[in-house]
Amino acid sequence: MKTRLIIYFLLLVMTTPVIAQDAPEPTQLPVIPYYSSSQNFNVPIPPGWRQISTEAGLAEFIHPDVDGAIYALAVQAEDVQSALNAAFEQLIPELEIEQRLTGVITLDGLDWYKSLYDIVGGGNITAFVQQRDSTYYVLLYLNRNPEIDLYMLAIEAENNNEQVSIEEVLSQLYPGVDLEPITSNEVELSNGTWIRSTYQLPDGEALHTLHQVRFDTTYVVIERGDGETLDTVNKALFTALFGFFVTPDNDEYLLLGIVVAAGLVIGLILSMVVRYRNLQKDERLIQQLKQDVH
Amino acid sequence: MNTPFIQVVFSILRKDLRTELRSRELVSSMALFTFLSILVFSFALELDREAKQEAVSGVLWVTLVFASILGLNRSLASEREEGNMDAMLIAPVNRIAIYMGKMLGNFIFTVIVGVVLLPVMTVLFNFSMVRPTMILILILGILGLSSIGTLLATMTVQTRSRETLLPIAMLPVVLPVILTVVRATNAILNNQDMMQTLLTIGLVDVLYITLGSFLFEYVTED
Amino acid sequence: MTKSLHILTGITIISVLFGLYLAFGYARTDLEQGDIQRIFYIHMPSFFGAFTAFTGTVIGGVMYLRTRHVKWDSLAVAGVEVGLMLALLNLATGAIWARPIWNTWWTWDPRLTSAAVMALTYLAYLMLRNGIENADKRRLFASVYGIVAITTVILTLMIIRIVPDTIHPAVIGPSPQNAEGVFEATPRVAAALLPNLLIWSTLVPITLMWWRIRLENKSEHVQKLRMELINS
Repeated sequence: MKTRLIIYFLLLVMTTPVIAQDAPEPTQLPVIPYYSSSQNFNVPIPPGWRQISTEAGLAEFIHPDVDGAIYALAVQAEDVQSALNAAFEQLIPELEIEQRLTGVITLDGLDWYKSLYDIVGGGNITAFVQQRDSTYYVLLYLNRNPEIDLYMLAIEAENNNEQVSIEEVLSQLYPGVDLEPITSNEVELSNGTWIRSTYQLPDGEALHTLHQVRFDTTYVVIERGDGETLDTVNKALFTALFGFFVTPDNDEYLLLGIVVAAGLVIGLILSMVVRYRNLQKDERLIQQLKQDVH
Repeated sequence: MNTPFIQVVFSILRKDLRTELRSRELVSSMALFTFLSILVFSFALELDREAKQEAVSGVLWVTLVFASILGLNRSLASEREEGNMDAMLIAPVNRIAIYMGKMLGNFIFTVIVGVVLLPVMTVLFNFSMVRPTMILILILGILGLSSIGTLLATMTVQTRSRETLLPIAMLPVVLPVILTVVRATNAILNNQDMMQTLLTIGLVDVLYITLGSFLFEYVTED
Repeated sequence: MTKSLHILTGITIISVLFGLYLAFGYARTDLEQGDIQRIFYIHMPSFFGAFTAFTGTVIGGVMYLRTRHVKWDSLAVAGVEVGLMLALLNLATGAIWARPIWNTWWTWDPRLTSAAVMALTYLAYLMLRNGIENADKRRLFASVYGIVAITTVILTLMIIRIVPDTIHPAVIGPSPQNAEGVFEATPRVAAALLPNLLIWSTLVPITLMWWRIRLENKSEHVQKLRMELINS
């Protein structure tokens, strides 16, 4: 009677794991397609953009309204500069370029080297480079439209003043620009609230900027021109940059795990075998002694 | 079952309490041990005020667990040495009643130590601990410790290694109690709601008392 | 009996190899975590294997107390040894996974802590067993402790409810933050996980426990022979 009660009670207790297993529901976010390369990097394909590269290990995204492309690739190099040169050699060997600005930002604990280039004869390049051992991963936006300039920048605000940071960059890129914005207003984009401003260049042309502050970093996209490409490229580059990740290489840990797991299983089996052998030995000895006694 | 259940429980409890009143050995050694370890903790941890707030409930309960182990070892070992246990087991009484009696004894001693500890910790940690809800948590938590502790101690005093085996056997098993009571104590000290945690402690108590009552008769077999 | 054990052992070995093929050949590399994620196909199933084995200990314990037949105590001790091995396997693979992913071998996360305490409880079981010379008393006490110890297994399963601030991940790893959506879950995870879960939570512990019970029977037999010899 009492033992039966115990059994019922234990059966009841045994069902608790079933109740305990349901974890909190994860928040639902839309699933976006990724380009996963053979070179271990993964980059999201921004909505509206199309992956057209047929080369292994190279991603090339284009958009019907934009004269330009987003590239992602991995190169083996000695340093950032030679990595960038190698990337340009692969992508645009025929074009001559000159460097405008360089710097470093930290995103999710990883360092990205940023670099801006102008293409001689029109167009420009925004490049981000991340290093993993001897491999450099390059994510860049190549603007081929000679009518406009399009730069994307991420600035780690040391002075915690986004306006100062933007003014610094603008005056570096466009000396003589009027740093007082003509218009400035908040706009709601799918990736958050941005501030859209327009500035006046000395030659009368307009400069459009979009910027946002995330944690201590200010993200700015600058367009010299009609300001039509800005939103599309900003969104796409943002998605690509934030979604970019490198598949880590940790085979050695997997191997260690397999060795340890196999060691534990084999250890138990071996200990059982050894104990069985010893028992057999004892048994034989006892049998022997028994015969001797008789 | 010639003697009524309740009567057996109370006569065992009365015997333990009377022995204790006469010698004051158990509670005084438990209390001394807890004061010492609280002192050692507060010096060893070298805490600032904020860290003390976080550590205080952990310190309280770890100390109480060890005090409970100390008390259990002593009370059951002396029971065995003096042959009381055998006498009780021969007598035609319900084993569950014996278990309840021994358990309540340890429970009362540890609660006394815990209650005395509250003002001491209030002074040493400069943190108001004397609250009615704290007493409630002490009662529920120590009930969990004593219920499973009495069962395990009855076993371990019959083994070769005796005193050393009880903490080894008991600490992992009382982890559910420690986890929940520390959580509840923290909630009280930060004036948060703790009904959910209280319910969990209550459930664990019921589980342990049930296990203890049913299994006690097997660990006292000869 | 021996023949069916041999057949079962054969089935288990083939199944484990098939499960390993699923984990290391069929399943795709997790793009966020890299190849180390494959350890998960053993890590989680081994915990459930331990759960099966420890459940065997409880059943053995209850039935021993009820019937006093030695075979139930053999089941209990077999469950503890096999379950302990699987629990250690679970802990070790978890630590090896955590090193590249969390950048540390060990953190005092509630679930990790309770899993470690669970393993220690069963080590205590083995110590308790060794501490009692009288065979009947040993079996009795071991049965009682085996029943009590299951509470730590249940605690490990339920700890996420009691202490919700665990960083122990859900089944599929975290997604890159800040991007405008989530990364598609690695394909074939479920297809590789479910068979492994089944194999490690049933076949592996049952086969190992069966062999361990045979060892225990042998030990009882030799003990009996020894007694006969002494008494003769």
